[in-house]
Amino acid sequence: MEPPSASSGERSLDPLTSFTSIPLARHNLASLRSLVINPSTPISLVTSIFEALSRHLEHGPDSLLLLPALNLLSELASRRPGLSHVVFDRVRSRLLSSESARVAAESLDAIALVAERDETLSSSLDGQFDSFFVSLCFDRSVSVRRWLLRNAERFGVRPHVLVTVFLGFTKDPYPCVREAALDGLVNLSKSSAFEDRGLVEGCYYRALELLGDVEACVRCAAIRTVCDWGHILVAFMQGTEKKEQSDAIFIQLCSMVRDMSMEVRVEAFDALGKTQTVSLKNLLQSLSKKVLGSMKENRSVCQSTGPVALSASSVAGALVHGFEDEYYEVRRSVCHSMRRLCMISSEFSIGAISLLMDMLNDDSVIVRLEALETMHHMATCDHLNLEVMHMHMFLGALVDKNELVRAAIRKILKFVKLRDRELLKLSVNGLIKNLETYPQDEVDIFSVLFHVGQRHGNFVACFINEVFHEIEPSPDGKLSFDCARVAALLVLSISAPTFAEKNVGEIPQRVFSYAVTLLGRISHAVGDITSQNALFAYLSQGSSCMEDNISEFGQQILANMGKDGAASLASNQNDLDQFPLGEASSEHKKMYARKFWQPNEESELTAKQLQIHDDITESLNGIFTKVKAVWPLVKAGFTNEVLKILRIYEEELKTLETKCTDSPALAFTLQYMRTLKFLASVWSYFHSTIGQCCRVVSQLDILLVKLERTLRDMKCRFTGLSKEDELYLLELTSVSLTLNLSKLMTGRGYVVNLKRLAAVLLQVECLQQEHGVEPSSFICELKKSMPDIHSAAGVMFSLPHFLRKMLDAFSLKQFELSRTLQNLSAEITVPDNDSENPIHFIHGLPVGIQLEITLCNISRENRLWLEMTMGKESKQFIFLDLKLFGGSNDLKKGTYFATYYKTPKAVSFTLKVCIGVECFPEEIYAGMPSGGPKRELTYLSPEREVYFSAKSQKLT
Amino acid sequence: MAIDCLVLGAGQEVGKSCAVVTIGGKRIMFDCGMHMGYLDRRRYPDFSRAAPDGDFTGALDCIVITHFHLDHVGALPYFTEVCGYRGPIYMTFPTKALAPLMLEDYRKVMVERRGEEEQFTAEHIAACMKKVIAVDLKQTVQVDSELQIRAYYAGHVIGAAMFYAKVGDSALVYTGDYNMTPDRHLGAAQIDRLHLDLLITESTYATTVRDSKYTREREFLMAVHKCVAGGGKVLIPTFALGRAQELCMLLDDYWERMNLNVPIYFSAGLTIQANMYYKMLINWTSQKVKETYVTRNPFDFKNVRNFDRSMINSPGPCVLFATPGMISGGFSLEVFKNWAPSEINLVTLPGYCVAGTIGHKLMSGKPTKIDLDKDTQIDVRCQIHQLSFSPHTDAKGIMDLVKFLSPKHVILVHGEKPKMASLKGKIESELGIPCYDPANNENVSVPSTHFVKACASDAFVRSSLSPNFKFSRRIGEYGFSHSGDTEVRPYLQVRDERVAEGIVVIEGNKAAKVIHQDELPNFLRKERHEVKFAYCFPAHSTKKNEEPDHNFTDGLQCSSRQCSLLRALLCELSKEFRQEEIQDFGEYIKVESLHVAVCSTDQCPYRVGDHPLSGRGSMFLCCSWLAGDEQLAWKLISTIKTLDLGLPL
Repeated sequence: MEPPSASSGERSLDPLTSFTSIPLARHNLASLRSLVINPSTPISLVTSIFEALSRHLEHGPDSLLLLPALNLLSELASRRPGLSHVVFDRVRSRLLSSESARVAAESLDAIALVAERDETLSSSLDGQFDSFFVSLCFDRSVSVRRWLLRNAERFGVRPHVLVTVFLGFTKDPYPCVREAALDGLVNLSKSSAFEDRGLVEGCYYRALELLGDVEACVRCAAIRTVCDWGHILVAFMQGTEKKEQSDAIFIQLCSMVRDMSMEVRVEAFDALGKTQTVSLKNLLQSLSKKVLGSMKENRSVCQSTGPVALSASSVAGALVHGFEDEYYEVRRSVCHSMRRLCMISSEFSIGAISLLMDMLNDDSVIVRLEALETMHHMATCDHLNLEVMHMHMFLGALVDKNELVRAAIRKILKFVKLRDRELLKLSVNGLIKNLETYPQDEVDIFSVLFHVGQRHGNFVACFINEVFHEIEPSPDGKLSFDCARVAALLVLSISAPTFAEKNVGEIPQRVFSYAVTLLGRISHAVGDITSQNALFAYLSQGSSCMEDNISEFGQQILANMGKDGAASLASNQNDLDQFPLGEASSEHKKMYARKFWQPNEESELTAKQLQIHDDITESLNGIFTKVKAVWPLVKAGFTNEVLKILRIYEEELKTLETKCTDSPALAFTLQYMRTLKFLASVWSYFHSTIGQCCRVVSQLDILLVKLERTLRDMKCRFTGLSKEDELYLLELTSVSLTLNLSKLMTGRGYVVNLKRLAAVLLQVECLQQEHGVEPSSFICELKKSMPDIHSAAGVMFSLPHFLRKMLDAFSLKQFELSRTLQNLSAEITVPDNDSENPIHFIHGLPVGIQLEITLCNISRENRLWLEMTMGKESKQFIFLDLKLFGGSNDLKKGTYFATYYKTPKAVSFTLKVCIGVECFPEEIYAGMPSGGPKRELTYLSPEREVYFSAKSQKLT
Repeated sequence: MAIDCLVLGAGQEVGKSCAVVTIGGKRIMFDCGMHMGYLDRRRYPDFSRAAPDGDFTGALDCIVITHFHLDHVGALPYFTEVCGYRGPIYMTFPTKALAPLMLEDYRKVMVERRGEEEQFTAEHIAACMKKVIAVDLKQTVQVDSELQIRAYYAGHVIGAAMFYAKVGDSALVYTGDYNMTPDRHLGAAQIDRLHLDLLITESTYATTVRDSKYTREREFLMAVHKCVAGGGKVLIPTFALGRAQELCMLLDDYWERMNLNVPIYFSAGLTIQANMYYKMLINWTSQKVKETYVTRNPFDFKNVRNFDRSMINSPGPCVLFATPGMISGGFSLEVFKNWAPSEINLVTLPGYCVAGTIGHKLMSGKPTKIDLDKDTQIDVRCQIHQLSFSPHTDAKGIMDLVKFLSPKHVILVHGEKPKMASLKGKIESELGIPCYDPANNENVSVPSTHFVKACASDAFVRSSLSPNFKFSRRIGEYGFSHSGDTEVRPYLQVRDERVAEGIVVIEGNKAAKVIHQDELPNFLRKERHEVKFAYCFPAHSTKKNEEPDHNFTDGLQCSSRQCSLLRALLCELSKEFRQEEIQDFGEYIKVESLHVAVCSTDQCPYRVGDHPLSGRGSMFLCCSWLAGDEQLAWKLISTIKTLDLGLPL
């Protein structure tokens, strides 16, 4: 049937007339429905459909069509919210006069549906249909009765009516009705509160009676009811009565665990898992099949227990039976409910643990996992007391074939408290066996070992001393770090000192040096506690200044590791804490200086070791970390020491460079080192008094320019930095600009600097808004005080102080060099040209130069210029059109003929050519000759000299 | 009607299970076993008691065998082939398959090894087995028009079953041996909630309460694992059926899980044949095995290989299953001789060993030397581990089953006398079920159930269709009796009237009929009679402000006076009797069937005594009640008499 469109009024009238005149028939119900669900059906038509339907409801001759008509009406109400009230009223009026229970129930359903979809109607249900509902329940039709009980909550029947109905129907001869009634009670107990204790007791005791029902499904429902209503009843009670009632519920539930139906048993154990309180003797009895002495003497465990004869024997071994059950569903349920029960009592946990251990021998993986999960719960609430006798079973799971099981047990080992050395030894050996059998688990095992070591520092220290000979090189000098056992022991031993200071001396220092060789593997494993850099620093520290014990520095880092990992480590607050600079005495200064010398020596050593790792970024990150730690020294004024340190790092990097050339990361780091050197030098000027500052202004100027240039290089010559790194670069730039501002400058330069600073801050804002990168505290400070800086322009003396205070908020961060980092570079070669073979030129005429140009990682956006310089002054720029070069973005190559116009009147001259890229827009134009680049250039290639000699000479 | 149970064997002993039960005129023999401890005529049950005339076929309606153990099936060929029983024999499919194996094995041992006189031949066994009718679990078998039997899963060994037998309305269950705790390869006993007159249950472990089976498993696995990890050899002597599969499954699972690759061997012979049967009888095993079977047959042990005699002295660790279980000879002895002298090896022993076997010698103390015969002496240095796996249920399991089935009577068989007596006492005291532990050849007779069929009248059926429940507050019937000190609190109870409302009438020779209570007068062609009591007595009221007399004559005033009196009464009574529902009908007050009204006639026939202020202004209360509420009525009346209904209130 075609849906009538609103425009074709003629056609839409057709069905309209037919529906209003012809009585409803089966075959046109479908077409009516399609009209109803079509959103473009005009409202008038829908209304007439509604009229037709409701007429049929009232006088329809065909009772078979009543149900579809009702369905259609409820659908109509849901599609046309405007009509829902009318539908509601109409069905309600019909409802009260229906003769068939089924139709009545269906119309009740329709009303409920309409009301559920329309919020304004939902309140109109409340209590309206109570009597109707009840009378309908008393109808003969069992299916209707069951349906009504199952859906009772939808009809807004008041709880006190419902509870009576439910309670009554627990007496129904039909099991399905009894079940529905009990389930109704369970739901009701959740949604409403009952004040009348008598009523609650009535429900509870009735459910107790039904625990002995013939039908399994009723028993299941009865268990749920006993559990829920029992707890409500307990809430009414006080003192001993309350205790007894709690016990009574527990005993009742326990008496059901030997049921022949698996479903009932599962239900019973699920219910036991909801136990709130129960006396310890009952709990303990449930673990033993034999009746315990404490239970024997006290036969009348509970008084108001109801119809089922109760004694200790019904509790006896209830949980054991569950564990022994044939069906894994039951065993799983027991394991699950143990979590709750173990929380109740630690004494019970001790008894339960051996049962749980046995479940690790279960043939079902699900059960084994559930048992382990329960143990994990116990461990977290410190109720897991492992004994040596458990360990065979427990650690056996470490070599389980199923990896989930292995992971689960390792998770427990992370948390569990091992009470003596024997346990630790067994656990560690278990873990090592795991590692040997399943090398793929290495990451997790290392992490567990690390955790275990941290938690049990004392035991570990002793243990490591026992087995240290295994780690040591064999007499022929071979180190066996590739052996799983040694690797695991190394991890364990380096974890130990992080726990307590007193262990520090007990762990041989060499271990730390050995562990460095596993740095990558270890740091990968303990990534959740600490970063690689922190770990590296820690290992370096550990191996060198152990006598000093790694007190302040190491402890600080390691405390952080323990707490919340590298994040807090990175925050500058902590860095400042490590170096209480304010009133640092000379003694202190010395100590710090020495501390920073030692790691350098160490790092040279480690650098060699690191060559094993081909991943260069790893070592770079190490350097970044160390460099970061240098900053407080800069602030404290140890400029020379810092410069020395930086130089050493630089050398270190250069040695690396020999190993792997063309690493953009390395180049970047080198550049960064340079920047830092400048920054440190610049900073030293600001460290002393203002007077000193004035004296050396010219030197400072040079330094500042250099600093800016290196920063610009870093920014322009590298692409693919992460947003965080970009932000950090911007921060450095703004630092340099701020420094620039604070050197007592006025006039034009000052204004330009201010503008640039503003531009940088704008960029920071962009980053922040577009990528959600959080700026550092320094940047925030700066932003806040920008207006002040503006207004303070020209006020000579207050400004630097003010800026310097701000600069204190600055500290070094760490670059997280991403893999996408690329180095823009270019190379120029001039074939067949050297001082012996110059290019000939005729004075005054342009000369063509053939250049072989190689460009790396240059993209379209980059504006490249060829700069040709003769002497000191004369410069000529040629724009390099990238289209001229073939190849991909990564590597372009081509031959380019450059023309040099200003050939001098000389016999020979040299021309320096190099390629530069225009800087980004925020770099304000700094006065270039016209015809050249609009912005400052950053040079991508080394300068190449081209030699020329005058042609005329030869001619003459 | 009664059920008679004649215990021919396993009465207060373990062995030769045999019980002849007469139920509803039918005679069933449950099990037909032999006693392994005797070699004389005590070996077999005294069949002559079942049929003194020797006509067993006529005397018995059928034989039911629960499982294939010899103490349950051992005498069967003798009984059928030698004694000449020709009637039907029922057993489960696995029992039918495995029983001949056991019987043949036994016959061979008896005749060929010990050279005894042959009790029955291999042909006898075959002929006997031909008469067997195999049944499936929960399959109801109609033995004849009246007798029906049904098998339920019993655990214990593969194919073991409990049998339910029913004649008319009488029913009983004979359990045979059963296990309420599941094994690795067998499930726990499983039965429906039945209405039973009699339960005949085994009671092997009548007083033992076993702890978790996992402890035993763990100890076994630990011992074996430790031994093979140390490079030792493990010898596990077992019986071919049952324990061998159980232990093997346990080990195989463990090996699988722990990724062990030490070989596990099965010595050739019966065990391998038995494994083949197990593979076919998956349906009779535990839930776990059935679930695993979807992907692979769990009896195709992954790590198990066949053993060759030449491998006895090959180096390296291994685990070997060998028969017989008690190292009484055969292959297990041969291996034992070779392995016992090394202390790294391990020998496990079954829970029970017959005296005289090496197993028994090993169990009693730890001998260092065992004399095999005059010439041979074995140096025993190996470790010994005793297994305590048992396929029998423990005392708690028996109690659980009895509690679950709640039969009217219990008979204990297959156990030791003192232990049975203890269990008997426990069943009687804790569960309140009469229990018997007859000795052999004793007869126990218990009453049986007989139902009368009744038809229902239309009115009763109609009234039963619609629910009709009533609530009442009443004192609980249970739980409070033993605690006199606690406060007795009534609580809400619900009852469904429609079930209680019927009345059974048996009219002359007609069948019984259930009718609705309203129909009864009609049915009896009698009027409905009620015995009603009445009592009229003066109300006690001190008039605080005496009204002038003239008011009294006014009719209206009078009725309002009556009303206020009643209100006052109502108020007082509801304070006194909080638990009763006191209704106010204006003219009178109603409590259950008690009506209390102000007497309006001067010459009330029920009036007793005069008003203290006789004459004007005196008020009388007239009460009437039905016989059923007499106690309540007097209680209320005596209370009312003490009340001062001063007017106005």
